Amino acid sequence: MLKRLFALMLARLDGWADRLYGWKWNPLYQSGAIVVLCLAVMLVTGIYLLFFYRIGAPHESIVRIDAQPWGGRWIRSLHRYAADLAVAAAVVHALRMFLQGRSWGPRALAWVSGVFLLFLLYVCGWTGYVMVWDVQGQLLATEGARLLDALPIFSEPVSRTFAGAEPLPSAFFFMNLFLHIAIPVGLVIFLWLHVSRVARPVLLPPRSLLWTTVGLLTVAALLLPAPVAQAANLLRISADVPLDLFYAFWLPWLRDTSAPAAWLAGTLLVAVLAAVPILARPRKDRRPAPSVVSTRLCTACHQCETDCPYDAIRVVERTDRRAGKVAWVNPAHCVSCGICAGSCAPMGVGPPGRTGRDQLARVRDFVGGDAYRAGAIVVVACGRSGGAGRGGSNTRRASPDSDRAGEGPARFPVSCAGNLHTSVVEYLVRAGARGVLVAACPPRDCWGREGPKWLVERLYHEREAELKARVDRRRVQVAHASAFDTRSVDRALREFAAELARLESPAGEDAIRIDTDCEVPEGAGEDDAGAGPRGPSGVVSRLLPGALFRRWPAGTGRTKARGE
Amino acid sequence: MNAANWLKRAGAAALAAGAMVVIVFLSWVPWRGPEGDRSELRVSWRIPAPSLRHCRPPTEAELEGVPGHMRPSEICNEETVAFHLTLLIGGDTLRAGPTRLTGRRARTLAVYERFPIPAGSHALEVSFVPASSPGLDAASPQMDSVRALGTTMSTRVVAAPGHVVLVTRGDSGRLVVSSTGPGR
Repeated sequence: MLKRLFALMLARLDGWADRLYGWKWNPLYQSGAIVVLCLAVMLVTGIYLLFFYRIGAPHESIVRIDAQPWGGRWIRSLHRYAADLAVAAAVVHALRMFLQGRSWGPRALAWVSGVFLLFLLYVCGWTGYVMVWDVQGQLLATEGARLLDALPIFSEPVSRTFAGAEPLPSAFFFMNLFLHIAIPVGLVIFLWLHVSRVARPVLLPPRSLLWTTVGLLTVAALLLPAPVAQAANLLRISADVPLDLFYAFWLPWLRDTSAPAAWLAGTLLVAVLAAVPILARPRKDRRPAPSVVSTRLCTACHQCETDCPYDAIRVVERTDRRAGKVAWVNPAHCVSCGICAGSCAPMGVGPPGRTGRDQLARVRDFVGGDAYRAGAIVVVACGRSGGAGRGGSNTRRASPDSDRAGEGPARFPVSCAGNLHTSVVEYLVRAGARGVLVAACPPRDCWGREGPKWLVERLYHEREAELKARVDRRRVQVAHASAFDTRSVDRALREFAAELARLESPAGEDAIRIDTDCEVPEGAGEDDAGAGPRGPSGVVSRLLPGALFRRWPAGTGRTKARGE
Repeated sequence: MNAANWLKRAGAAALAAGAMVVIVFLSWVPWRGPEGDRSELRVSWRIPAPSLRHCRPPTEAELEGVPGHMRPSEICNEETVAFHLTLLIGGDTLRAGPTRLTGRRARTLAVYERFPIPAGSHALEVSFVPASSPGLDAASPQMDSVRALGTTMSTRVVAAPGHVVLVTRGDSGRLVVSSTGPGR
């Protein structure tokens, strides 16, 4: 309930940000990439700072860097602000993934590695502040030592190092510097793990947003440079400390807490965060089933393998009586995004109930039903876009303007526009729809990562499973809008209607036959069930129900499969 | 571009700038800890843990089965002596108990304690003496060198607000008090 409320709030925030920045520039959609950008900024500025940092006199060297007339101060501030923004963006990213239900199942590895990434970022920030050796660094060091002393690891109390009887040895600052440099190497390893389950990971934001972010950080560093706090003094108890709340928000709480209690609280927090993939997953009967491959229909064209945003599909040798290869879905990697359903020309792959053939069956029913009227515009509404009504989920009935006129657009709800097979659009246009407006979610925020991108490619750029040349492209349009951005959809609809008004009335066909590339013969479905290939890990691919396949002509092949 | 678009762009720029300013200010939040008006007593030192060596000739049963060239002339047991630390400030006991022994073989006695104390002048008494244990032979001649490691101190310290009164062990083995701050 609470999660749903927060998810709605997030969607509304996305809507506002979309209106201000447009979906291409919305930084909320780029939170993960912004973290990587900040890490890159920290790396560059950190290399510069390393040239001037002295382990023998840490605070003095920071003061000297700060006094450099041309660079030191703002570069140090840029390093610090980039570190702060990295934490903020990482938290936003984690919240988004959690609230959008993208933290369980095959995405569990990304979630858990993300938790470790955040942890490493914190440890790195901790060592960074200790490097400065100001009062905040002293507090972080002494509190850290107190926490370590509670563990049965060190034979002598680490805190004795900070007793103040002797000056701190350079070896301590050397070790700290080493950790500050070594931990980012761990960050890179975990980052690789974090994106290892996705194809074509987007590691940096679009160039315009990238330079804007770097520019804003630089301006902030120039205009509001981070001051250098008072030098640490071990014989003083730090009463007035300037805290960086991104990294040290917990310090005031920790000071009043015993070390075992702090460890307990920290361990519980990490355990809960790491257990999110288990806690957040839906009940077994509500989990979407992974995609399945019809070995009868699959022509091993590799398109689903290419398009799958989660690298869940491989083309493997057939194990049935037929020669050649066949697609195989790894259920452990498949998130059931359904992108493959839209990218499969023969409609042989997709989540159960959402394959191209299922979509065709649905659109046939839709055209034959009351909701559709020949000559109307059909809005194919993605459940996560503004086309589905405020907040998405296809709660919208029709556009308010058109309701009044009584001749508004017909709405054909779909779970995801990225799943949409082009034959559905073809069917609607050939059935006499004045135009088809596909209301999709913003490409940067697609639940299936790359759905809208591939949809546009298929509709306009001849990507495999393309919209056939016979379909008038002027009658097809795509609008991107987040769940609460109904205005953008309405505006796109108005503009589209104006464009369509200049075209002649569409001539609907009575008997529409869509070229499903490979048709299944009657009763072939039963045979199909036993013909599943074994994938590299030996898992038998699950198959579509036989009832889905109706006709199957002899002699199938990839060339024939194009149907052109 | 119409006025609404300009307004939208200005709003977007202002929001981005505002977010950056929030980041800058959250990066530097002054915080005053509860210790501001208080002081801290810190005791810290480390000595090699003294041990008593008890040797005796082996019994016939112990030598039985041991090859001739491996038979020891005596069997020794080593017992590390624990120390007892007592801290009193203004007559109130801050701590009274054994100190922690670290390490497995070459053991050390590491003392590190921190106590918040009110600022001002205080009578400080420190006692660091070998702890008696049932097996310990107090009359053993080795105990003299162990006792020599113990030390006691009774002095008056001035604890300035926000400063530390540090009690350490000097090279001679005597306890040394150092503190900073006004009034010293």
